[in-house]
Amino acid sequence: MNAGAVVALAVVALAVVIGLAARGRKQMNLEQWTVAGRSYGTLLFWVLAAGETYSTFTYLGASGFAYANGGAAFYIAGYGTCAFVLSYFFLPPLWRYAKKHNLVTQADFFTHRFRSPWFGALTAIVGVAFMIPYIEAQLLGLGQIVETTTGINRVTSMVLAVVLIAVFVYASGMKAAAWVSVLKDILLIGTVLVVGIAIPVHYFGGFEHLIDTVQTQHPGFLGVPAPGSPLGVPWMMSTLLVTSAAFFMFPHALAAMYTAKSEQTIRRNAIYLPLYQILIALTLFVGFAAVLVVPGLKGSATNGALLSLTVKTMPSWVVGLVGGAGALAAIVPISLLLLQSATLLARNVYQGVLRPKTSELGVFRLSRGLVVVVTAVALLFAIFQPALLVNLLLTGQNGVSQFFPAIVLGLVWRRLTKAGAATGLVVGVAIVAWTVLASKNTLWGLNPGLLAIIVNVVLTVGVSLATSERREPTVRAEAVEGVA
Amino acid sequence: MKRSAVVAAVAFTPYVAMIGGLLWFSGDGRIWFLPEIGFWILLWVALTPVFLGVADRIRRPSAAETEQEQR
Repeated sequence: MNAGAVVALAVVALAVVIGLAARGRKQMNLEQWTVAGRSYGTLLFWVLAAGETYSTFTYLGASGFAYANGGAAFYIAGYGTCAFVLSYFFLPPLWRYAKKHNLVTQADFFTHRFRSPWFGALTAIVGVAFMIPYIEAQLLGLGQIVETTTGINRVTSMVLAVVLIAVFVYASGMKAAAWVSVLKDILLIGTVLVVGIAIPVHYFGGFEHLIDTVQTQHPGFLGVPAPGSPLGVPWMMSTLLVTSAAFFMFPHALAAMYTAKSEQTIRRNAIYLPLYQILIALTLFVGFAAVLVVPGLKGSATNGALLSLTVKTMPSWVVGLVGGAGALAAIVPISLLLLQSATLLARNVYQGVLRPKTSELGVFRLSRGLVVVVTAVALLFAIFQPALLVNLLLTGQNGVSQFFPAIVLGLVWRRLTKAGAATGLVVGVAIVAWTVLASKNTLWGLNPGLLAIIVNVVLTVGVSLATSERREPTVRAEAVEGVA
Repeated sequence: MKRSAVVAAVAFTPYVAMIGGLLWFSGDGRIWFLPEIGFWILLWVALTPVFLGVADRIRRPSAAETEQEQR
């Protein structure tokens, strides 16, 4: 076993110890397990939010997109920042609403706001359908990172990782994800700084010469293509709008927000989290460097641009740290995805509509059991049918943005009805699914998700006005208070 | 102008500027050592904490105002 593999395994072993120890001495119940008792202050909440947001995409997708598409990749550094601006306004009142009504999942909001367990169950099923391919994508990313950096077979690493994740999520729930995020963030920030600075300096003497060389050898590559071309300015603008709306709409991302101790904790994080985006930009420069140093990568191989350069350039112990950090960059989001998938099925589907008399303790026990089931399903797909869920994953990224109108309008608009929200959501998701299945990456030069959101909003408002029941003043009053 | 409108105007400045400015900052040129689109986006990424911080200060009533309201 090489030095890199030893270092990477040591990192993962340390993460497991932290994950198991995170449980602490408090009695575990559903609220403690899923949202850590809503107890996190600014620092731990910042770490958790960064932990669930910055996944294997940081090492693979971001630099790969830069390698393949040049300057358009800078949207990756921008969309999170736009999302934090939006979150400054809508997450604090959502957190207040969730705390007041003891909500622990995204679907709980729909159940409670619209007084409809069936609507909650529908959104839970849609959410889980979008999250399982996301788990699979993270597992595949983990396999690629570990195999490239340590030489450990990717299937072996995926199986080992999911067993470890299932154990510590079962034992410690959200607390495991948060405390492992501390280790993950330290390693991720450290390795991205080292790799992101060292590679341009090593090959080009600095960023300026790197950009000079790319612009000389590939004129136009670092600009955005003219309007009308795929990935032109209209695509970039619309993608920033859609992806910033979608940012907190995956059920696991929204539930992580419930862990905050107060509304001000959430606002402070909206202020500080954009700084993390500057780090992501470093990986884009590695992608640009790879265009010159390892030319000729095609298709999904472009995702290996950063790893190829790291292995080629860095000493093996640094490569091992990148491998370990890359593994944790998958493990933390997978933990949250598993936790939320299991809770959505147990609380919003089983207790919500199938067995309404199930106790909270029963839901807690079932959620823990379902962690194992969801883990097994995602792992089987990742090993045996890695391509089968690709369309669902692509649909999911724009699809979750369709929750945005119902959640935000649900907080501020009294006349929003269940029929309006459901119609907008279903039609929005259908439009996204159609564009994915028909391979329409752009519509009139725009991100198709934007069209879906516009139709969604129009239908949500129109149908709500037509079906307004004018009977939910309490909900509106408590939700609207202090939105800005 | 209402305090909440001022807060929204300040907080959304980076959002609007970053997206709207792409119409002008998307060519193959360079600003400082960065491609111009990279410069534009990273500039607003760096300024967003400042704008949100200022908005947050405006949003929270000062201690004196709070005391006055309590009276």
